[in-house]
Amino acid sequence: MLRPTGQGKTKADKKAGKRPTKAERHEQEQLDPFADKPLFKSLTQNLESIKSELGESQDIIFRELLLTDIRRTKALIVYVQGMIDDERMNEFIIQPLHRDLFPQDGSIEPQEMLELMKSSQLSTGIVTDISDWKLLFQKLFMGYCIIFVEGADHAVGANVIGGARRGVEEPKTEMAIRGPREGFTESIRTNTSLLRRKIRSPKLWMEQWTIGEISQTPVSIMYVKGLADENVLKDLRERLEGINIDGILESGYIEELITDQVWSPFPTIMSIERPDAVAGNLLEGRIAILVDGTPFVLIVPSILNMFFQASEDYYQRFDIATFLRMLRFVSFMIALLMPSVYVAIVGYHQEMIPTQLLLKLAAQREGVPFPAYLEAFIMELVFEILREAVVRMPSAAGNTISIVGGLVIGQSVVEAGIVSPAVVIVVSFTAIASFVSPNYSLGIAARLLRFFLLLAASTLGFYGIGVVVLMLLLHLSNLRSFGMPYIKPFAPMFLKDMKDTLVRAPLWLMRERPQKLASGNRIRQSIETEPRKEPEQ
Amino acid sequence: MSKYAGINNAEITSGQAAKLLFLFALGSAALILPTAVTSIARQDGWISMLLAGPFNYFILIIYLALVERFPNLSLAQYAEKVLGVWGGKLLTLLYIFFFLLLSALVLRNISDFLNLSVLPLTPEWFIDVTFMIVIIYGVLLGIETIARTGEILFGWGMFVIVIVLFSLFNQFDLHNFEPFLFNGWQQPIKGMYPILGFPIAEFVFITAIFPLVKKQDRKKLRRSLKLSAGAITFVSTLITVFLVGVMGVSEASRSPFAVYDMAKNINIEEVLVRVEILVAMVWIGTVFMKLVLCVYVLAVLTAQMLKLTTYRPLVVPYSFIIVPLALMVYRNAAHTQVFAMGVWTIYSLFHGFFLPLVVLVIAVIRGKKDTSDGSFPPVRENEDADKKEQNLAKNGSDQADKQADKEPAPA
Repeated sequence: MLRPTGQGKTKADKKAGKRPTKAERHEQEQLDPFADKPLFKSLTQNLESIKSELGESQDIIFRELLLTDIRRTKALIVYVQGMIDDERMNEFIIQPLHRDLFPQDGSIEPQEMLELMKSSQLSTGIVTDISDWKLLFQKLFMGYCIIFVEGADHAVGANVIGGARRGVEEPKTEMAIRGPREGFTESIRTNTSLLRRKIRSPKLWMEQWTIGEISQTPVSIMYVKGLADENVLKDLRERLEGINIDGILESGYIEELITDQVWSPFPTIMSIERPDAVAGNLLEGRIAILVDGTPFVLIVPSILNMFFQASEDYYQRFDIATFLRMLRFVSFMIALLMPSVYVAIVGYHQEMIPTQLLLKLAAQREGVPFPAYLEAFIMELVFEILREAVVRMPSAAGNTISIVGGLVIGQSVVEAGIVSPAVVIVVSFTAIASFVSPNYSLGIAARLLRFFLLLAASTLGFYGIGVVVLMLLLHLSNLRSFGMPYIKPFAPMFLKDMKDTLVRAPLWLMRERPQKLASGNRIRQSIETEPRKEPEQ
Repeated sequence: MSKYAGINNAEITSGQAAKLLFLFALGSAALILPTAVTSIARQDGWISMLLAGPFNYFILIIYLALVERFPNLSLAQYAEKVLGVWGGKLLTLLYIFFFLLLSALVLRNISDFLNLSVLPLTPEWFIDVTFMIVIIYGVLLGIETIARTGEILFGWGMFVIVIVLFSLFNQFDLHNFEPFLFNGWQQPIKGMYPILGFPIAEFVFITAIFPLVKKQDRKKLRRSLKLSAGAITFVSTLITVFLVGVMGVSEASRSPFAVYDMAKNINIEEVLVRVEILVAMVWIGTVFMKLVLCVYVLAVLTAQMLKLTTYRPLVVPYSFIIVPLALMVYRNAAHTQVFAMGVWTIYSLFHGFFLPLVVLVIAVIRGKKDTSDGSFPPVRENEDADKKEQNLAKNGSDQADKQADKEPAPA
């Protein structure tokens, strides 16, 4: 199997060293009835077993061949229609098998036939021996074709993976003006190759598991050997091996199952769609988790600061990149705090507003039936509903929603005097600010916490905001991602790492990798990269 | 690393310890102390602050000498080694009362302040309870989290102090300091009296923090603490200077929360006006740090005295004592001043200076030294899981089936 260690045992089994309970065994048998059972020697028996096991599903194709005329040795090819490449199948598997290679007098054993087949007939890259049912089904549904020979105790699987998959396209969620245009796809092999093309080093290592008892999803981790922390790797392996679930459909499953803190609005594992961003993280000593069937690759350990870094920061000049970094931090603060600060000021601390503005605000609020916090709450809710509607609806209805949302709600609600224009401004600006974050998952935190802060601000003003912010601060200080403090370069303070936080220092200043992350080799570049001054005349 | 890491014991760096000291010292003192000092020393209050500066470090010397003898023990633990078991427990009990009272006073400070200046209609107990909830959360998360929060609050606090002081430059009037030393040196020296008790002697909390400082960081500890003491002196002097310079002595010595009132004067082009709530936010942060440290030390000392394996179950019960105590400890905000200027210094110095000195002297005479480890036993990560499994084994396989469905149980 593909597990490098543990051989299919979960962490719980290993730790306790005890026998699985009756229920667990029952479950296990339900899930893989064929686990570790050998194949039959008879071709028809194999055929019948596969058919009955798969419920005679019509997309499984059985193709029989005659290998030798006189002894009439038969072969059977099994594959899943749509998961293989038909042309390659014909050209590399079926045509070569039709060539008469084997001595017609039957002086060759089935076992040897398979060996000969492997060595001189099948012309695909990957050919594997298959001797048990579990592996057989795994390979079959990966897109291998399985070749049986009458009388042989094992079969041969040949890689003819194909079928329709999405090609490499521009990432949908992480746009960039400057930088590579390619994004990950749903195929794990394409994704690993995209990474290999970025880091062409023998030190880029990969480990693979098959997770999900029913879905049998390939999950890989990739890291740069010598840079990634061995403790984090060990921890990650243990956590991945501990997963015991029916199916993994997206990397979100893995993320939720291995994360340090589930009870937190903040993401402690980052998901990225851009190969260049993942490569950058690998070079800093982090580990990528790739899951088949999703273009989102996970990065561990992830800290808060990473969610403010866009890969474009490193392609642009450092001054504009620094400006954008700060803009993102400020935007996050606005997205988090602005409605509640507005409510606190209007409701409790009117003295902070300059007199002229206060008069204007008071005039606007004249005749508005609701208190400020209720207005803000209603508008925030309306905005969230609009946002969710825009994401889920068919794209043809997009214009309708934007007209209804923008004009009808935005304008009419003010004209009808139900909410004051100031609240509409605050809510829309907050909405725009919340989209500045280069990573979607951090925006979610701001989105949820905004309502708590609104509640606190409406009951206790700035003191309420202060209390909630203090709790948030405590919570953030307490979070860890694979042992790494979540707000690391700020607290605990690492002055050397501050060069890539609020500011993005020039590349030649970022000579070292982040502390406590890259284990062995911390030096990123030689001192010569520093731009040298022209010798003075 | 498990999610329980650092909940019971944790390691902090010497820099973090220094920042904790700084925030503790600014804590409730930043807002209240300048009033007390200027009401005694008048316009020479800043000299009192400056003169008290060295004492910020002198008092630490005693604690540092103690921690050198007992590097891994807290006050409650080495008191038992030095004074005998029952003597030590008695001493610890005194400290428990001290920190209980101190916690209540600090909590009362914040609710007094909010009630007088920011939220006049909100009942005092409501403010106390909401603030205490944050404190409980913080203490339960442990010292490592507290220290990290402190680092962030330190940065934010310094930022706001600089902003506020800069925006007050245009209203600074040097004439407010005249006459200089109108009553000779006697007046500023008298002004030191509340400072000695109010933040300085309370620094005894740090005896419970010292054993948590990383071993490899211990060498830097002295230097960091010196820096911290310097920063405390600098900032408190600066605040007092601005207070007198901007508001004048008579106003400064009458206002109960002078720095807050000083920030009300900020007016930049009629746009940036009345930002005193920013000062209040910083103060909420520093008071939070002080209170969270007090409650932490209170719980830890009690747990160590009673030889418990963790301090955590004590936090909530103590909060139920602290909140009512805070409600009845003073009659009103004016009472705070009288208390801070009169009684507190004696009481505080007794615990912060006299008792540690006695312990140190006896330890030196008896030649006691001990490097044993006084930390709490580590939290067993799988305790809950083990219990669950045992229960499941009893209840048969049906529930185990359900459990397996529900919990794919990552590490």
